[in-house]
Amino acid sequence: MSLADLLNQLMPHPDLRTPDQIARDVDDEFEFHLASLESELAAAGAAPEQARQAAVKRFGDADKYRRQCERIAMEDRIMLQRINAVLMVIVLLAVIGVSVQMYLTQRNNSQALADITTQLASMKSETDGRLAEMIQAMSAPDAGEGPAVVYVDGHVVRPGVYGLPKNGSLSLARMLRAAGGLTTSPAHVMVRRSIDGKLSPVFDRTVSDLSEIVEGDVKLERDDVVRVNTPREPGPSDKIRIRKPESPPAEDG
Amino acid sequence: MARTTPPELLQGTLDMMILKTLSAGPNHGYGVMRRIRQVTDEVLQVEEGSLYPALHRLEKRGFVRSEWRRSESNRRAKYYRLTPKGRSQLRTETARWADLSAAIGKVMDAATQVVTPIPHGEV
Repeated sequence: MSLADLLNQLMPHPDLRTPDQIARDVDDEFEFHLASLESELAAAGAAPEQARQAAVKRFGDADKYRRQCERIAMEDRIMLQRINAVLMVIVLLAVIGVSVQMYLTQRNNSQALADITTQLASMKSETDGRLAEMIQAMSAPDAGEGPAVVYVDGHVVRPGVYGLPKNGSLSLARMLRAAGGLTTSPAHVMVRRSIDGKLSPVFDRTVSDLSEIVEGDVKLERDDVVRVNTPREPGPSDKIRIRKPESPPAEDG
Repeated sequence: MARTTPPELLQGTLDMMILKTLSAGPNHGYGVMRRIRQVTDEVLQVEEGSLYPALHRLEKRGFVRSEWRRSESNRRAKYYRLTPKGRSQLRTETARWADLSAAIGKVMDAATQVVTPIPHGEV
């Protein structure tokens, strides 16, 4: 047996003809048989019409044999179609699987990317904040000379030097309360501030109680001097006119 | 011996006869059938069309291969030839057939003895 024969034997030979081709081939084969048989019978002395009839009779049920032949030929086709369908399903499942995998990976990646971006942004703002603080600290040496304080003196429970809060503000009433409150009543309360190199009073009133300060209260600033006197004691403010920046001057309508 | 009906073809014997006929050389279906008729002296009466499903099945099993060619009468005809696989199948079936016919022959020979009268006293 040659190699070609061996290969021929091992290889599958699927029938790739279309159903029409199969039917045509079977018809041609049967027709050749009938025609040959008819000529044979005619040669043996049969009349042409009888020869044809006898040939058809001897051939038998041509329709039955045609159907059998077609079914045999179609077996391969049906098998191929089934294999095809199974392969299609497998390929389809594989494609769906890969797509889902890709989608999930992409989603995870974009989620991770968003997380990293957020982290980077927060790190950046943190760094920026620190940098700004450092720059401020380096570029404003005058503002950084010691902590911001106010001086509280006179008739309070705890006179002394008080630090101003870094953020937010401190009002006079709050400052006096923090200093323990007034020890005399009525009391003359005066706040002086350095404005253009001169100490000017920004609050100067006689009150009987801290609650009276709430109206026209002032926000304390760096190096303000708070002095609480008894009304009899003459304060430095006596020499200057009282100034109330918070209450606008009354206007006649 | 009077014969009222032609003998029925045993299952599978048509396949074997087709393979045997093709072992002499490629032929078309009509040629195969004519050869079988000639060899058997037209004793076997089969519908000639029944040859084709058998031939096609043999081709599907790889025992024969076919190709369309021009016949002696210059008509388009499908020729079948035996493959090596078909040749070895023919050997197997020939051996089996020999065993089978020998076995059947023995039974038939014995049957002729059965009808001889059994002597008295022996059962």
